[in-house]
Amino acid sequence: MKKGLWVIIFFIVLFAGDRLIGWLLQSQVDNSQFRYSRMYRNQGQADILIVGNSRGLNFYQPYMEQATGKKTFSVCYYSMPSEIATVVTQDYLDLYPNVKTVLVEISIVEMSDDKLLTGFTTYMPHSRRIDSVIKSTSEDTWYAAHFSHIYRFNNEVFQRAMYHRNKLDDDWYTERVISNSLARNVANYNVSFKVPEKHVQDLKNLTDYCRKKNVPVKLVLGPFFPNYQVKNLDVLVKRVEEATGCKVYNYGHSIDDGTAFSDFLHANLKGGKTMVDLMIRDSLLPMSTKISKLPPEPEKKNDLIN
Amino acid sequence: MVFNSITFLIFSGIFFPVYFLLKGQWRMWWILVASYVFYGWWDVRFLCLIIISTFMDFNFGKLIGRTENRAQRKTYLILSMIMNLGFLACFKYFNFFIDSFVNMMHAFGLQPSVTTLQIMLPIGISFYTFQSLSYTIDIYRREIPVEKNLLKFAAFIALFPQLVAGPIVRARDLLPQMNTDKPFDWNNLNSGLGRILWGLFKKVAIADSLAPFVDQCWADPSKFSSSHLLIGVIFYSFQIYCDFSGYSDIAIGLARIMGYRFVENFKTPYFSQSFSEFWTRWHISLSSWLRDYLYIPLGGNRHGKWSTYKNNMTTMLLGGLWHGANLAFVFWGFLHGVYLIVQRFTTPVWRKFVQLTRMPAFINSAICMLIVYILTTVAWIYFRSGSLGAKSFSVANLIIGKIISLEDFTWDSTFNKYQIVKGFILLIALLTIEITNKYYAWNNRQLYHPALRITLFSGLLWMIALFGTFSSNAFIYFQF
Repeated sequence: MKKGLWVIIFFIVLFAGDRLIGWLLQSQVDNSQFRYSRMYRNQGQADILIVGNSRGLNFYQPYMEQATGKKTFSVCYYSMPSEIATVVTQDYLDLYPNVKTVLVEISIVEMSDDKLLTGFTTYMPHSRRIDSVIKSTSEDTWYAAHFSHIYRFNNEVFQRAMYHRNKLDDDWYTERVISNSLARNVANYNVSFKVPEKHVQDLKNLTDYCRKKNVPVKLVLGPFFPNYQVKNLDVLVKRVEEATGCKVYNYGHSIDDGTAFSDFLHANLKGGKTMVDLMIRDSLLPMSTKISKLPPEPEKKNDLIN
Repeated sequence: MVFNSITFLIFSGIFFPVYFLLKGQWRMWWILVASYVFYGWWDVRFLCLIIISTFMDFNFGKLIGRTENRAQRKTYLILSMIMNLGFLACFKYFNFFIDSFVNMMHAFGLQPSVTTLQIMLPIGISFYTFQSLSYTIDIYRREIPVEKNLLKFAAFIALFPQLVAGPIVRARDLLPQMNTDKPFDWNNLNSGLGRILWGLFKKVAIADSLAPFVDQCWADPSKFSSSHLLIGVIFYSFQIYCDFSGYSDIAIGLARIMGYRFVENFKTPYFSQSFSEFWTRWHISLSSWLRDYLYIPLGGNRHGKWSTYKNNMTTMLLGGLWHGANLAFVFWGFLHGVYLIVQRFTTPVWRKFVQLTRMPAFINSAICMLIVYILTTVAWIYFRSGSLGAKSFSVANLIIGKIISLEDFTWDSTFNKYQIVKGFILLIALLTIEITNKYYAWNNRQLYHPALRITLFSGLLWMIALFGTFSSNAFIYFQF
């Protein structure tokens, strides 16, 4: 009898502890300065919304705000799943209807990582859309996250939210320059882009929702390291244009300076600034009234390769 | 069927209640049937091998025990060894020997046409072969009596907790325990559950969380900086420890619930201060097997120093080969052989240095632990590369070369910082628990303090929920 009582106490402690720890972790996430936490607690009002994966993080926000004179908000994330990008954007547009432009980096179609999708269980309580995406794509995870509230925080997104607990993530960027050995051997590396139809449809849903909300949407392909071979790039651009009916601004080979990259796929701080300048030159983004002339042409050099 | 799966949870839910309801022969039948189901879950065909091995060794044991004629006893033992090692040679090493032969021929400019058979490696063959082999050797040495009950012997060989990845439980330890029916015992249940949860935490939360980072490093080391690779190598040293010792903990815990005591397989090996100590703390059931059935019969340290070196090296080389059919595993064994031999020269010199400098004991211990850890980890690089086939040495050398070059040795140059931070948080938790366990013996203490038990069990389950990776990754040692 006494043993049975201890067993019952164990299950009560286990369950109650799970809920209590879950609640504590959730309150930490809710108070974080991480982008999604700010967004869901109505502190993410901006003129330009940036959507993308790690390549979307190339659009360096502080410089973009300085160059355009507009407030920006990024919902980009490393290997952002396209399903989540779509529903987060929809949530954003519902919460902040006054946004002027949605800027989407389209490699989100190719590079999203389904494994990361379940990481957004952390924000499930804030978004019915995230909840339903997780339920439809990973039912086991959805049940586990409802069964154990602690399990909702078993992911990278939660760790990021903790890292940015008291620190804004607007300057989430790398200043690192690609290593000499990698740059020298660029010819030995390549990547082949896949164009999954499911992800293309996600992007179509995203652009359709922007149109429905009367928010202009701009599709952009960010830069790659000079001479880095990206196979199927044209297929990706063409398919996205067909599906969404929007022009894709292809900046894939627009920067020749190797020092503007942290690796083959990602621009660094220098590359990010150049990228913003290019988008202003092409009138994708407005120019700040405080700046009197257009930014200069990007440098045509490739120190790392030569 | 792996321990960290829902299938196994259901399997246990059926196995244990029935196990305690049955008595005598019925219980042995239940163990045997359940163990065969557990093993056959991977591939039913594998069962043939284990059944043949069981039947043959049972009869060889009887034949050895029946006769007093020394020559006959030896003949039966040799036949048993040929059969057991023959299975291993056929299923595990055939392709390796053929490939090595072809490579050697290529070196001499010859191009032999050899078709290698694509033989599937039965899971856990190295474990149960050694277990079965020790039975006939012990009978030959008259160290244990002959087992007359085939059912009990078959249940001993197939006992599911230890069947696929050890510990290698010897007949002398387990068969006597199977003579009596073990009644259900709350202390066994609590102690067993404690070990199972701790093993699951090590496997699911630590080893499987470190695995993706490690796999990435070995997949293409040329892509990563020296700092990234160094972290990958450190992570691997703990991944393999947590994976393997986690399995052993679960196996020991399951056996304890059944009422059996298995030998300990790991005793915080990375706290070893010498390589000889390391081998009394790492995979103890294998190292003691090799000591008793290989090193000592070869002469051990009884015939002078050169003979001792030779015996050390032979044992470690075969220990390496036991792990897999690849020269990288043999090289891993060779490195440990070298470490053991070199240690015999350096230990007296180091002791004198410690005395002369009056080095405090804790600094001496810390330096020794660090050296043993670093050199063990260097050997792990080759061990991890062993599964990469022909590329194994080039990958291992590339990793070591890049780390030594210190090229781009910065925090910024590392990828997946999330995994790195999570990995180190888990390693700190592991070391904290292991160090405090030396003084508090948590799993024993919880038996007498229900509140502590509830706290520990709940804490481990919460940690597993927060950090666990639930993709049912197989244990590394299944491949051996």
